[in-house]
Formats: sequence, C-alpha cells, structure tokens
Amino acid sequence: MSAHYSPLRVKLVEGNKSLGQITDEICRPMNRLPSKSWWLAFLVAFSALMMGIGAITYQVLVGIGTWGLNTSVGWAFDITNFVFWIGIGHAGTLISAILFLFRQKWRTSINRSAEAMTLFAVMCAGLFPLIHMGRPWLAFWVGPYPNTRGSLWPNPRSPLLWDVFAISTYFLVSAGFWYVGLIPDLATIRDKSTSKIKKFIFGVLSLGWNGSNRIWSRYETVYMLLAGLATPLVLSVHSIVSMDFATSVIPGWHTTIFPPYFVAGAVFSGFGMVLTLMIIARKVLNLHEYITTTHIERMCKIALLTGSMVGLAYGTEFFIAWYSGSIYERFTFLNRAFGPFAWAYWIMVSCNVITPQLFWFKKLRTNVKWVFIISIFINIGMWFERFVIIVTSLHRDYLPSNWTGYVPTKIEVMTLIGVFGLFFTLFLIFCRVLPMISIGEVKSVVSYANTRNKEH
Amino acid sequence: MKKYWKSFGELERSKDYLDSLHEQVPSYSERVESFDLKPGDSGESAEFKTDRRDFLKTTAAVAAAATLYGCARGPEQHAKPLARASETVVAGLAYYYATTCGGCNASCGVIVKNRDGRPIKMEGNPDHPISKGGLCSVGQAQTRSLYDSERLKKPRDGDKEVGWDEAVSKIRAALSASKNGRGSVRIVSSSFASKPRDLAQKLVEGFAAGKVLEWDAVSYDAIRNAHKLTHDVFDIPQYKFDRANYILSFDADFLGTWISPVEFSAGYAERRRLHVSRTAERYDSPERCRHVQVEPAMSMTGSNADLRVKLLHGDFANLLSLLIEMVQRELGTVIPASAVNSPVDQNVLDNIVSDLMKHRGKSLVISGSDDVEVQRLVNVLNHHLENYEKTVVITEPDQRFRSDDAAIPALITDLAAGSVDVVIFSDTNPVYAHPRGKELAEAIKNAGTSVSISTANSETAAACGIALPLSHFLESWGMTQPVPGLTSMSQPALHPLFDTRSFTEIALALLGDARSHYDYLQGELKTLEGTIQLRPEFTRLFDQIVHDGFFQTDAVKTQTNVASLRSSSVGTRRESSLPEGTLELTAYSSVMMRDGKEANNPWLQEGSDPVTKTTWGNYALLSKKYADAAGIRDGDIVKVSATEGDASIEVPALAMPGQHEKSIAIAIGYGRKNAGKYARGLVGRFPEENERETVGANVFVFGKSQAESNGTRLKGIPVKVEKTGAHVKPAQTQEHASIEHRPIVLETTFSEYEKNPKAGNEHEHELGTLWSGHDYSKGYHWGLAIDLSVCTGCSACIISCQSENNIPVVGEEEIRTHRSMQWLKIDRYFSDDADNPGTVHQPMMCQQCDNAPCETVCPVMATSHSDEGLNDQAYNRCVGTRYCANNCPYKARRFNWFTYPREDPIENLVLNPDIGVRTRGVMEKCTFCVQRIQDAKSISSREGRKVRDGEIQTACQQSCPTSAIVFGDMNDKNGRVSKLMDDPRRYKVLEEIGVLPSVGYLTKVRHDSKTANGGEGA
Repeated sequence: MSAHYSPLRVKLVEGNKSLGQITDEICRPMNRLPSKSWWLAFLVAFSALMMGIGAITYQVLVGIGTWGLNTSVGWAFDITNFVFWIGIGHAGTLISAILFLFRQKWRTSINRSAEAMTLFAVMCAGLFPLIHMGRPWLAFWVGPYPNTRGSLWPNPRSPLLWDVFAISTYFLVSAGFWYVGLIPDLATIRDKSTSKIKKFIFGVLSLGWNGSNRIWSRYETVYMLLAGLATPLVLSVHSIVSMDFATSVIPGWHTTIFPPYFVAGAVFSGFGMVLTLMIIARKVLNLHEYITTTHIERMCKIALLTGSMVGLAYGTEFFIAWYSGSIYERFTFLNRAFGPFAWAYWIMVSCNVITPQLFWFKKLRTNVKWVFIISIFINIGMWFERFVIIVTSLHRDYLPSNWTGYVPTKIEVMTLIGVFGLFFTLFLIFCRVLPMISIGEVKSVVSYANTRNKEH
Repeated sequence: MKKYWKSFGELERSKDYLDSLHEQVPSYSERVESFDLKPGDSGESAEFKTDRRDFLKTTAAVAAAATLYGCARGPEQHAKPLARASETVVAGLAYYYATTCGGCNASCGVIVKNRDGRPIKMEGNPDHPISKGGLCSVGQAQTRSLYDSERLKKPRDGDKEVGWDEAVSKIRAALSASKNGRGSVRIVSSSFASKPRDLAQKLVEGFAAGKVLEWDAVSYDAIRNAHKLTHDVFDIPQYKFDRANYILSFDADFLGTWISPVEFSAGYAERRRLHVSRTAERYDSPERCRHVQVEPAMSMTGSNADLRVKLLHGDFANLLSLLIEMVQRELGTVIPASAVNSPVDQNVLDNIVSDLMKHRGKSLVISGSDDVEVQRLVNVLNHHLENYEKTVVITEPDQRFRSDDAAIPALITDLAAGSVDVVIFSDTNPVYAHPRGKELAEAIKNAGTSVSISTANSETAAACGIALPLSHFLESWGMTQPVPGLTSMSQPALHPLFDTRSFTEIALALLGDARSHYDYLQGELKTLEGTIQLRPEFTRLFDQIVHDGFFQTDAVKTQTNVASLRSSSVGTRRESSLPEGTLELTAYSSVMMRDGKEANNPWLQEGSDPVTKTTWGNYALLSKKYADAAGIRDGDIVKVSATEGDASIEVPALAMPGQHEKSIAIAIGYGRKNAGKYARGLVGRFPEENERETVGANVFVFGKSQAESNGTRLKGIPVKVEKTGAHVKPAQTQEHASIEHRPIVLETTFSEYEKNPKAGNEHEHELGTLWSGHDYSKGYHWGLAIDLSVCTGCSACIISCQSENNIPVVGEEEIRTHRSMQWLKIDRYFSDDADNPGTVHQPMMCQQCDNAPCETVCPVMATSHSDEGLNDQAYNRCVGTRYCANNCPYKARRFNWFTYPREDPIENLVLNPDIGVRTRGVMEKCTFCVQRIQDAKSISSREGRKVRDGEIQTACQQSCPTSAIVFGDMNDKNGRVSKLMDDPRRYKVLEEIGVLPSVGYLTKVRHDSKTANGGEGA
C-alpha cells in the first residue's frame, strides 16, 4: 500500500490521527455498552424483524394466497424485494473489490461496512426466493443433489436455477472476502481485549495472525485474488437476476438491455443505501473524521453516473418499444407511464432519474443533509423500479381477458418492513461486535503512514 | 375396535372358561414356556404371563406401529369398500349408464360415468335425438348436486325426523280424511318430466276437489296461451332450428336457457358451421342461417347474433305488428298505413322484412316474452311466413313445459280461504320463486296437511309441515316423453345415498301400491304396447331401451288446423308504457343459475355468466349511458324498486355494452334463503369472508306488480333505480372487455369467406427457429381445434372441465382477487360500437405449446414436454415459484393459493379418481384430459392398434352442444383435427411469439350486420 502520496490530495482521514488513536477510536463502540440511540434503533429494527417473522410464519402456514397475487400477477412484492436487496448488495462489492483493484484509497473507510451491508442484503434477498415458493419446505429441490428419484435434477435452462448459483456464489465469495479482510482487525481486537472470553473468540477468529511481514504479504496476495474473484460478480449476479425477466416472453421483461441496465441500477441503489447507512453511522458512532464529506461526495458522483445510466435505459426501453413495432411491447410501456400503475412509474422516474441530477451541484453533494434525503429517494425509487418492471408487465400482458390489478395485502407490507428490520438488526449488531472500519487499511492511508513511508 | 365374542364365558372371561380354553389350545406363551425349563410355575395363569421374548416382540410391534403411525401423512381416512360388490363391476374401471338429465325439463340424454359405484361425470349421449351429445352447464353440474351433503336425508314432520312409514301413513290418513270430507286436495308439481303425471292424477282421483297443478318458476305459459288463441291448442310447438335459414328472436335466449338450449344450439350450429361436424370436411353448398336478435339487454344468444336490435319489451308488440303489416303488404294484402312510428330504424325494418320474405317457410320467429299478446303476434307472423309445420311444428307439440301460471294465485286464494285439506308440493319451490311467495308461505299454514317433496331444503319445504326427501334423478328410475314419438329413459346410477324416494315411489306408497318403481316402470312400458312393437322377450327389449336411454316411435299428431288462424288481428298498438324516470326490468334466466334450483351448487355459483362474466350473485345490468348519467359506477350497490307495490332489492350495478338505455336486467335464481351453505357463499379457504345472507337477490319478487297475466310476468316491469352509496367490487372472471385491437380473435363475414376462405386470417407469420424442434413422427401429436364460428360461449365446457379435473371452487372473494381455478375459461370480447357491440367468445386453456415458455423456466423441471406434444405438469415435483404462470402468454396456468377445503366426505364422492387433487402451493393447468388419453392408449395398445380418430374426447369437447371443439392426433392426416388444422381459417393465438401452440382456432364467420342479404353468402 505504498503508492505515491501527494500532499495536494485531499486527506482521506481527517484529524491527524496516530495509529493507536485510530485503533482506539474504531474499537471504541465494541468496548463500551451501547448508547441510548443504539438501543432505540435496535428496538425499532428488531420489532420490525419480529413483525416480519410473524407475517412470514403466517404466510408459510396458510399459503401464498395471503399475499395479494393473482392468476396474472404471480410475482409482486416478493420478487421486487428480492431484486431490490440483491441490487443493494452490489455497492458493497463494487467498493471493496473494484475500487480496490483500481487503487481507490478512499474506499478504506467505507469498505468494511459496505461489505457487511452486501452480506446482510444478500441474506435479505435470499429469503424471498425461499418464501415466495408455494411449498418452501421443498426448496432444496432446486439444488443439484444426488437423489433417489432417477434422473430428476434441477432444470439447467431455468434462470431461477442460475439465480441459485449466482446468489450462493455471490454470498460465499462476499463472505470470504469480508472475512479475510477482517482477519488483521480481529487480531488487533484479540490483542487489545482484556476479557478472556473475548480474547479466546477473537483468537480463534483471527486464525493465529501474528502481524509478521510474511503474513501481511500473503494476506495481501489473497485479498487481491479475492478482489479479482469478486469483481466479475458485480457484473454477473445482477445480469443473471435480470435474466429472470429478460429470457421470458412477457412484454416489458423480454428485452436485451436488461443485464447492463440492471447492473447500473444495482450499483445505483447500492450506493443509495451505502450513503444512507454511512451518514447515519458516522453520526451515531461519531466517525466523521473517517467517513468524510470527501467520501460522501465521491459516492454521490458514482450515484450520479449510475443514475444517469438508469435514466438512459428507461429512455432506451421506450424507444425500442416503439421501434420494435410490436403492439404488445408498445402498449406495455404506454401502460407503465399512463396506466393504473402510472403513479409507481412516475415515483420511479422522479426518484431515479430526476433526483440524482441534483448531484451535479457540488453544494448539494457535499451537504450531508441533502445527500441523506436524496439517498432515501434513491432507495425508494429503486424499489419502485423493480415493482414497476414486475407488476406493470404482468398485470396487462398479451390477452386483455387476463388483465387485472394488484393490491398488496397487510402480510406483504409487513414482510417488506420485516426484512428492513432484519437488515438493520444485523447491521446494528455488526456495528457493536466488529470494527466498522477496516483498521489495518485505514492506517495505510492516514498521513502518518505515508510520511513514514516517505522517509524510507 | 369392536369386541367379538362367541360365548358368554368368553364375554365374561370367567376362570373356568379360560381354563377350558387353555386345555383346548395352549396359548403362545405356554408353547414358548414348554421350552423353558422353569419348574413349578404351571399353577400360574398363563393369561398374564409375559416372558422376555414376548416382551421384546410386543415392544417391537409397538415400536413398528408407532413408526408407521408417525409416517401417516394426513388425518385418518376411512376407505369405503364395495361391501356388496356386483359380479359384473370391477373396481377401478369406469362404467357408463345412459339416462335422462333431470337438471331441467329439456330431457337431454346423458351418459353417466360411474367409478366404483358412484357417478363422477355427466356426458352427453351422442345418440339421443334431443341433445345429440351435448350437455349444458347445469347438466354437467348434476353430479355435484347429487353429492350435496345438505340434501334432505330423512322425512321430516314438523321439527323432528321421522321414518318413511310414519310420514306416509300420516299423509295417507290426511288424504283419506279429506276424501271422506270435502275432498279438497292439491298436488303442485314442476312440469312432469320424468315423474308420471297419471300417478299424480290417480292420487287425486275420487276427491271432490282434487287438483293436480303444474307450475315452474320459469314458465312458457304465454306461448301456450297464445297458441290457444291462434290454433286452439294449449301447447308449445317444437322449434326446428336446424331447418331455419333465418331466425328472428325477440329476447328468446334459445342458445342459453330458453326451452331446450342444448337441442337448439345443436340445430343452430348445424346451420352456421362451415364444416361437417362428423368428418370435418368443408360444406360445399352453403345456406347459412342468419340470426337477428331483438332484445333490451345483451343475452348470450344476442351475443351470437348477426344483427342485434336493442328494443324494450314494451315495444315488442309494436314492432311485431309493423312487421306483420309489412309482410302482409308484401304478400299483396292491402293494409292502411301504420299509425305508429317504427321503434327501430326503418332501414333495419325493411331489411328484416325483405329477408323474412326471402326465407318464407324457412324462417323462424320466436320470443322469450311472457306477454301473451307478443306471443300471439309471433304466431301470426310465423303463420304469414308459412313457418308452421316447417320450422314451428305445432301438431307435434313439445311436452316438456306445461306450467300454468294461474295455478299459484288460485292456490293462494284457496289456501288463504282455508279450503284446502292437503297440499303436496313436488320438486317445485313457489314460496321462493313466485312473486307472491311470502303470501303463499303464510297461506300454507291454513292447509290441514302440507307436504313438500324435494331433493334439497327449500323455502317451500321450510313452509310445509312435512318434508319428504326426493331421490336425485341419478338415483331413480324414470321415463319421460319430451316430444311426441320419443320416450327417454332414466335409470339409477347408484343406490340412493340417503333415505330418499322418487316421486313415483312416494306416490305408489300413498296409493297403497306395493310395486317397486322398477316394476311400475315395466308395467307402464307394457301399456305402451300400442306404440312399441312388443316382442315376446320383453325383458330383452327393456334392457335394450334402458341401455340406449331412449326409444323412438311414430309421433302421434295433434289435430289442429294450421292453414288458418283463429286470431290473426294485428291488434291495437300500444304506446310505450314506461313511466318517466323508470327503467324497464328484464328478469332473465342466467345460463348457470337458471331458476335457482341449483343455488347450492358451488360449480354453478362460480361458473361465470357467458356475457357478464360475473359469479356468485346477480347484478343490475345497466346501459353505460344511463349509468354515466346517473353517476353509477360498476359495483355501486343500487336499490331497485317496483313502481307499484313494495318489492325492492339491492344489488350491485354493472354497465353492460349492448343494453338498451331504458333497460335494466337482473338474473333470477339468486337470493335463495334456505338452499344451503353455498347459497350463502360459504366456500373457500376462508368461508366467513364470503358469507352473505343470500348470494344475490331474489328478482322473482318483481313479478308481483303485473296483474295482467296472473302475476308471473318477469319481463317488461317498470322499476326505479337509486344509489345506496355502498360499493363492492364485481366478482368477475374477466375484468377487461375490449380486445384492444389485438389480433386474438379473427373474424370475417360469410360473404368475404366465400370470396376467400382465408378472409380475416390473411396475415401470416414467418417464424424462424434456432433449433430443430420436437420429433413427434413416431407416436401421437395431440392437438385441439376450436371453431369460433359455432362456439356460442355457453360455458358448458367450463363446468365439464371442472367436473372432470377435480377443480376446486374458490369463493367470491378469491374470484374478486382474480384467482379463479377453472382451467378453461371463455374469453368474451366486445368490438366496435360500445352501444351495440359485436361480441366474440373464445375458449382459452393451456395451448400445449411446442416451444413452451413455461417449461424452460421451471427450476425443478416440474413441467416438461411429452413425446406427444403435451406440456406435462408433475404436481408432486412443483415447488410453486409461479414463474411458469408469469411466463405464459395465455395466462392459462392456475396456482393453488391455498389448500381448498375438501373435508366433506359426501362431497368428495364427486372427485374423479383418475386424477388427483392438488395441494396448496402447486401449479396446475389444462392437460388435454391426459387421463382420458392414457385410458384410450391403454385400451388401444391392448388391442394392438393405434388410437382411433375421435376415440378420445376431452371433457370440454364431449360436452360442447355445438361440437365447436375437436381433439385428436395431428399425425393422423385423415383425422378431424388434422383437417381443421389444415383449414385456411385456422390460426393460432399469439403465433408471432413463436411458442407454437397446439390449439388451433378457426376464424369466426358470421353475417355482416349491415347488409340486407341474409342466408346465402355473396
């Protein structure tokens, strides 16, 4: 980590911190009892989670009919949530892997929590393919396991099967990448902890890390390799998720633009969520010297870029629908913009296309309050994007006799809230038990490290 | 477990007895003991001794039993074996019995499919002269009515259940008391179809004031009265639709509900189809029947017409008078100019008259009006058009419907006066279906003894002191003569489920006649000696007749003068009598619910109306114009009240295209109070969500204000409509009515078709493919062809499919959520003018695509392609991702959102054992009746041949009254389905997507409504 350091560059960590100070400050939340605001946040999140568990339990016991789906609209909130959460995850991988490979040092303050966010988001996402099944207790049938049913095997032509592999791969690689990145920090905590139990646990988790040069060098090689491995996943996972729709014959789904469009949307939504989380975390955990406005501004720029890509994709879809000459295709898009779900469409457009354009203004993208508000809009907009794609395409497809509407039930809304509860519960626990910022990596970008580096 | 014993000693387990037992047979433990060398324990009772080996054995057995018990998947079920199996019945094989449908009096021939002693499916009898193989939705649903667990099961006297002997002796006592007294006895029955009229007559013989009354909720009394006036015969003529080149119908729903819809549909379709139904060859000399429907509200029949004229009932007489005058003028009679303006456009009128003149003797004028004057004018017009004895056969009158509208008012008067000793209602429900039903219910209390005989509980049964349970027609013998020269037979397809009797049995018991129904029937047949050539071997003849389900003889003609009319005056014209601010009510029979007798049949409640597509209740149908002007949205609950009297109901409104602006139409048959749980909507996973006091509202109450025809005029009643402020979402199986200019139904006119058989279907799709496709050359390749030209939308196929494939009923709320489970639906689209649109019906089911989009997306391969072109669905394998349904362009797949209750052991008897019931979370869909395919294949392979063309009939095809659906092997180039698939009219829905469906549709061809030349093409 010894790239050239120019004093002209903006400092990535403010406050001229010493190395020991960094360790202390980052580990501080783990060494004291939770604050009131943490408890409050946890209570809210955990209550939401419990409500979600209640809703899902009821739904699994009684049947999918407890949702508002119908013969024409077979997916709605379930797969919307699934795609939304998978998308959220992408920012984490992009920050940790791609920015790492591009030597974007500013990522060090945010990569740990962004990766954690990825993991939790994938967990939330993974819940939906499971519970959206009519018979979730048979979900293991989608796995290719040896069985006694003759040649019965999953269907390799089904995008849902590709999803199974894409997402499990994504989860495993992300989890591995995250864990490997954690090892030096785990060792730091082990070394600093006074309690025997903590020492033992972190001792086991840090896998005997001793901080030697050899270990560091091997560690960095592994980390680089894993970053290389994770990088294609940023593109592949959401491309495959998009094929759930793109390989179908339903107008509004059947488009070749979907893979890049979905990847851009995923990164966009992911950065929206990272911004939301980071702004809260730096406030609550008093980390604004580590997560500076520079970080926020840079993330805003990525959001602006991907948001514009998404806007371009919306336009392209419309153009192609007209250009295709297919009456069904044309109708679907007109119906999106002017049909019964036009409200959802225009929420999507205003949140995803119009709002991020505000990031052109430096004043706004360096103003944390504004950024926070806009990030919330991005989250909402990207949820609605998936809702619009799924529901408006299904509710009025080829045969007008099948046209119908869709109204979510309480159970679906509770599940939606409950999964946010799951996500925030996990994230809040993470803030308490693991270092939210990569201590080892941050140390490499503070001026102290670089000055020392120069002296050599 | 029951304890069996063979002697008192064993029962009481006395020591002596046990000792003696051990002397005879040493117990197992004793036998084991003999190998044990333990001394001196022989004094102990062996009974309670257990050694180690026994203990281990017992333990093992208990463990095994516990394990097995733990493996049990569901609640304990009791299989019901055939306790007294017939030598000729093999369990697991289907047996078919010919009988006559008792769903209504039309007396269609049916073949009942029996499995293991229980009827599971009604099929049309193809040889039967009336129905010719078709069967309507009500007929299809009869197995469900048979297994209605709320049927009357035992005779009831007052509030307590009694035995038959007790009930019969009580009634006999009352009858003989009356006979000795004033002798005032009334037997009220629905028109005698399979019930012998003469037995009822015999019952009242010798009574001073004994009367047999026939009364139906839906009567054709006006037709009879009109013929009394014009021809001096109190009869309904036979209508021969198969001979008509031109049909002018005044609100007669002859394809849906009027008199004998299956028979009429078959005749109608024969004159409109472009293929010979048996061979699928194209007709070469077309004389296509032209159909004009004059009606205030869109009926199913009207939706099939070439020309629909919107007209209120109040104007029927005027239009008919004008037509008669114009026809007479054409015929050269000098008639003064008409004083009344034509209620319809003069051009239309001229066209109709010129067509009528062109087709004299080959045209048919009919009316569903219950106004005698209208019916009389219809007769006059038919007379001038020389249709009598050609298309309208009055000398061989229809015997099926003999309801006398005056019967009930007279009965009420007599009952109220307290001058009736015994009144017996048989299979009729006037308390519900007569406008003065409430009065009747009160008046019945004045009768000394009141008896109701019915299969299910009814309002009339509740009002009567004694209720006798009637056997379902599938449980009884019977014989009926629907038309002269035809005797249609009924035979029981199972032993009565409950302690019920047929009307004949009851009547015989009341007469003190000890004969069984069977003996009586044979006796009756023997009295017909004059008409059937009785051979010495009567039994063989009898068996043959029962086997066939009918026999024909020479028809005896009624003597009447058809050459001249007794009453031919055109009559004074009536001014439209509709008061300002009112609408004219048409209380119509709906295709599913008819007169309300089947209100407790969930299949029919959930079967959607062919035109409105509504289920579970009736709706006030209004014109769009009126609804908009009155600010009434679809689903707004409106209060409909009669202008005279206090009759009023509240029903949700629905704007219907094609409705006259001043017309309101509401279906009768709803609002049954005592029919059972389904008539209260209690069905589905959450029955309480659907519960209502009654499903729909009773429209019969409106008949009251009509004094002129003794109270049963249900059409043409002025009513007021007001909003109540309440609103419900209509429970429709199809919400969107417009086809949105999409080429889904292709249509052309006969004249275009004559020029170019590909008319309407010119557009061809060039489909490219990247892969070689499936190879079907070795075996079969199943396909289905649907001729839209003859599909009338009657929806019999939907109920047939429901019955064949164990499709669950989901309830009103679920229909509202668009979760109907019916595998087959009929899409109804309106086209062109919203005020008087064209209508098309399109049966839509799984299209069994070759490039099936559902198959590729299933992650667990629960749906895959068979070697014969079917999309097989493995329910067991399905995990329920619903991806297949989303990716189906036809949305033909149905998902089990819940476990739909199947807990009633009686109702479950209706299930077809050839196909399973599906659990929740599983996708299902049309399989082309794969169980029938497998059945035919196993028979043919046993016989070492291929399946013959026509050997397999899917359930929908079998029931179709117009033979619009043809199934078969597309590899058989001479097969019917191949011929239809090769027809220039054949197209495939959404062919351009490239999914290669196996269902072909044939362009709908009808006459251009605008041109004058009916009949021939070009």
